Amino acid sequence: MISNDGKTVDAEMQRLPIAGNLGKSRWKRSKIGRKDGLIAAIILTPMILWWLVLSGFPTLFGFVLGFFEWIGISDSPKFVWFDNYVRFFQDPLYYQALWRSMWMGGLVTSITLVAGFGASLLMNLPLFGKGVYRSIWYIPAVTSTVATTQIFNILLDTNNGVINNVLVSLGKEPIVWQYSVFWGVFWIVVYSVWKGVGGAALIWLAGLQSVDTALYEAADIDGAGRWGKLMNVTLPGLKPIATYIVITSLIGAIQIYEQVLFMTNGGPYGQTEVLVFRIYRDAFWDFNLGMAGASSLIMAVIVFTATVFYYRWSTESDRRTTSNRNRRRGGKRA
Amino acid sequence: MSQTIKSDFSKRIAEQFKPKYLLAHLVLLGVGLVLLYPLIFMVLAGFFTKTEFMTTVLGLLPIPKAPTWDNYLTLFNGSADAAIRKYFLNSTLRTVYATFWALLTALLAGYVFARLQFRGKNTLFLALLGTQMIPATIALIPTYLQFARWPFAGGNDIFTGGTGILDTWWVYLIGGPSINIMGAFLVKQSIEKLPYELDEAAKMDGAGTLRIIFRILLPLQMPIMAFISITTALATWNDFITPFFYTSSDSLQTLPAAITRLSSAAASPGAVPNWPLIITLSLGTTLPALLLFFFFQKYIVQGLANTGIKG
Amino acid sequence: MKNRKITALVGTVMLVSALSACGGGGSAKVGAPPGAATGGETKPAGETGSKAETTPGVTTIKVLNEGAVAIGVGKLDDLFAVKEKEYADAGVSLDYTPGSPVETFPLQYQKIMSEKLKAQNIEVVTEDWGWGEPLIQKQTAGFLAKNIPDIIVGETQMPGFAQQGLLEPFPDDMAADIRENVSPAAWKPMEVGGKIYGLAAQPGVSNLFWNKKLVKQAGLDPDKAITTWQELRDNVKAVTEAGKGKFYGGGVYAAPNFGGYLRYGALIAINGGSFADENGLPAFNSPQNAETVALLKDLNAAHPPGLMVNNNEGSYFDAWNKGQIAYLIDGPWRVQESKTTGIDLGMAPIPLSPSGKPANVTIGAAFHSVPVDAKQKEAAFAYIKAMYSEEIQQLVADSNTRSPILKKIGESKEYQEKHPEMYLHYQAMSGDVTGLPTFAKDNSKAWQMWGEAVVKGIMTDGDIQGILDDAQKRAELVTR
Repeated sequence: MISNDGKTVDAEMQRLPIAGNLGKSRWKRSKIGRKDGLIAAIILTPMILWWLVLSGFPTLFGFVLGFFEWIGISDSPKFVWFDNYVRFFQDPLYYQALWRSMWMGGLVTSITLVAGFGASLLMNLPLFGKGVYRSIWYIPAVTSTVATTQIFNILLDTNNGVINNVLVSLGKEPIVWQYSVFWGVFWIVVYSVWKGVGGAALIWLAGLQSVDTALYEAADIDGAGRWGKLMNVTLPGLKPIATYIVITSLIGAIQIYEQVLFMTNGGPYGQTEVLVFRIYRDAFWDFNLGMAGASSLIMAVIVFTATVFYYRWSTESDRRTTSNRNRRRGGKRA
Repeated sequence: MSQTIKSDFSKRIAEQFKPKYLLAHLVLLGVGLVLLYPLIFMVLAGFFTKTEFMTTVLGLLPIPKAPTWDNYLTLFNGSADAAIRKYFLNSTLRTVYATFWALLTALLAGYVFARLQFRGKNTLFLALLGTQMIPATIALIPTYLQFARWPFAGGNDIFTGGTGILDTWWVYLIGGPSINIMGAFLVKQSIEKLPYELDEAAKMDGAGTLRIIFRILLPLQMPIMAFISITTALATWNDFITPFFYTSSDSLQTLPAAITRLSSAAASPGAVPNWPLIITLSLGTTLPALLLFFFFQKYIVQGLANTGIKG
Repeated sequence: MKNRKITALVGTVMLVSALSACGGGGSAKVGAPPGAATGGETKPAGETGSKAETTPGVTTIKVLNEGAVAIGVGKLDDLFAVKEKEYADAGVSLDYTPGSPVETFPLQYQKIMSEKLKAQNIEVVTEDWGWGEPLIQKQTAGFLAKNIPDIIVGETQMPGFAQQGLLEPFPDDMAADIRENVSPAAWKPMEVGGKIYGLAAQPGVSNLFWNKKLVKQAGLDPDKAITTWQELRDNVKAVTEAGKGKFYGGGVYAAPNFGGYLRYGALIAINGGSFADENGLPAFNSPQNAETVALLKDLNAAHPPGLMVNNNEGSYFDAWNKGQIAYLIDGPWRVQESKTTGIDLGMAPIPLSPSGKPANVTIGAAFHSVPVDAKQKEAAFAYIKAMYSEEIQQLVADSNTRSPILKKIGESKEYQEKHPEMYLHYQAMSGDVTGLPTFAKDNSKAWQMWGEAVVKGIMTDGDIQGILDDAQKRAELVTR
């Protein structure tokens, strides 16, 4: 095991300059690059061409619409340059919805990820029936949003809802959930976390399982405590999975709209309206595809920028911590 | 960890009673039950008759006074206008097909982005990722138009004249070979963590790229592949938009679409919706997906420990 | 990478041209005479599957299903046997003689339709596009791609489609026939610019219902119909006081959604107010509207907190079914339903304001229309004609859940005697009935502003006129 571990670390060290763009031996890289490029092209080209036709085209179509005023199906689209974009930032209906999407999405993501991580640590213990726990936690993710939001609505009904019934039987006043911004946001977040936490736990778990066990043994030899192992082995080992899960959760959470549509319908007074809900209304209720396209583009640009920054930061710090760790460990071993 | 796997049964039983483990059990079970509560509510609600559900004030656990199997029977037998079994078959075929392609493209593309060096790699990857940030809503109508104008299909000349691939099986099949970018992202992240030496050693033995991917790397990706299978299969299984939006024929409907139809019949305009039936039906869509999950989830936890990396 | 850029560029150009072709084509069609459009497309080029099986000389039309009369999807004639077996298995009698109660309404409805159309060599194939939100989405896409059935159905979205020129107006002789012989509730909401664009075979309008048991418990006469807003105010207050938190006076559902607008719209109309003017511009802040909102505010005090403006319309009617509210303004289906729930109910025309006149809003109506891009328009209009035929309307009368729209049947002595409650409903259908307006631009935004203003007026102590003025100002901005 230990010798294996040594080999692994060495291999990682060898790999580092290649993985990074900061490779020292330029000629070697470019040679590899040419051969790799060919293989990459052979594998990727069909997939990406297919993807361009099926996803690229409709997406582009949507974006281009952002430059048109096109209200009503039988109207002809009129090219209006950036009018829709200007309106987006002038009309509180839109920029406030964007802001809400961002902070609600952030809230949902952080709660889901932290709770999911905690659960995955527990599920990673050699417990009896952990398969059952995993399944129970994941079940909400399996259900359809339309159906389960209805159940939440039945539970949360002001008049005959189960939760208010319980409150009343405890001698408390029933709460009018729908006409409180706080409760509106609260239940949207609760619902989203409810639906997402099992999936997050599962993928954290997959990450934990794939952390090289030899590294833990090495840490034991180094005399690291439980906390030290978590900080120096588990977390760095989870970095690639973390990059994935943070980015995908954020993308998912910022696009939340079904629960808003079915639970608060944007109310009270439009104060739980999120941007995708607005886009949905524009596209299908008002047939204002221009505004829907413009809003989508703005949202995509913002999420994309955030993703690129996070991705860059995460891959770079990943490289840094891995190399530090390896250098230290490698030194000791030598 | 390898010690616990080797350890014998009685030792494991004893371990379960350590305070730390007891606490873990307690938290996982307690929170799990809270998470499960809406589902329990649904299962119980399915035993209500429409009238009783309508006229009683529900408690924390809705227990009907006069339980009925009718809703569950409708779920399994369907009605004249919904042959449940046929839709089940359509759903299954569609799900298997989509999952197969998702796994294949995710694995191949994930490998390329993790292991190969070529110019513009990061840009290309981020660009692909970028399309995931567009709300799906905005692509619905353009996609509909694209399907309707698909050249030389369904009575179309180059672009017009017919209905394209709308309302044909192609609606389900066409997306297959397209890249599964979220899956590829996950595979990429996972492969990047594996020692490069694995590839090198295989190359030394004369293995080609495909052999490296399928023989060396794939076995180590099983937990990830299981996760991708589950998420793709569930998303496809539960997807109601595609069958609903792009098809109309009865022979093309899938389970969720059919169940939506049954539900909308149960909630016909102006009438009081038959909530117990609607709830039971939506529970029914979930059931096969749930079984699927039970089947796959064990692969996720196998982990690297016993897939052979340690030799 | 270069290549990819070029591909993207080409894509964009194609897109823009496709886009303008799309819109241009659409408007060209709207302008063209109906005959020309039909003539050009008599060859059913793009039909899939079922088309091959049709016999020559028979015209096949595609019709969208509507929940109340749906028996399945596919060729109508193939559906009967299956449905009959289902009824037989459930022990329901398949017999129906006109003039006597009917237990298998959807089946009988479709059988009559099928027979009437077969006589004209028309065959019906049904499709199910859902109802509500999903239906609107699919219809929108279908219109754009010109992939649309010969008959489409829908509720609140249909007048908007008509205004956008997406629907074919009824032929003049047919329109004249309808105006003369059919109750306005069935077509008035679909009248745009003097032409009729759609018909509902069994629409509803609202009436006042009350739970006699609760009214009696408040010490009021449960058999006396109230006629004025003031009486309504007094009675709901009395019931609420008698209920002591167990039950309430109730009144009308007033949430910021179409379920609310359709129901209290009747009160707005009674008091001489309106939501929009004839150009589709908002008319929120009339003094009449302010008076109506003031009534709603008083009614809200006679509801459990939050119930009257609950986003889920189901919750409101749930409270009615559970015997928690005594008064309700809603469509005719409550009569038949009360037999299941065991509520002893009273029914009367909606009370009037001091200066008000009877008026109503069509509710729960499935308007059938023929799209401009339909392939078989003539046959489609034959279908709509069959919807208001005597046989179908007699069947509707026998169902006792809705009233017939054919004056000949609705006004008959026989109907009045056999179905007293539904006759009351029929009378309400024959008066001044309208539909909800469609705003000139950004329809849903304007409605949202209205709905939220009403909720604010009901829920807060703010000045109602001021709140409506503010909503008017904002709505004018979006509808321009």
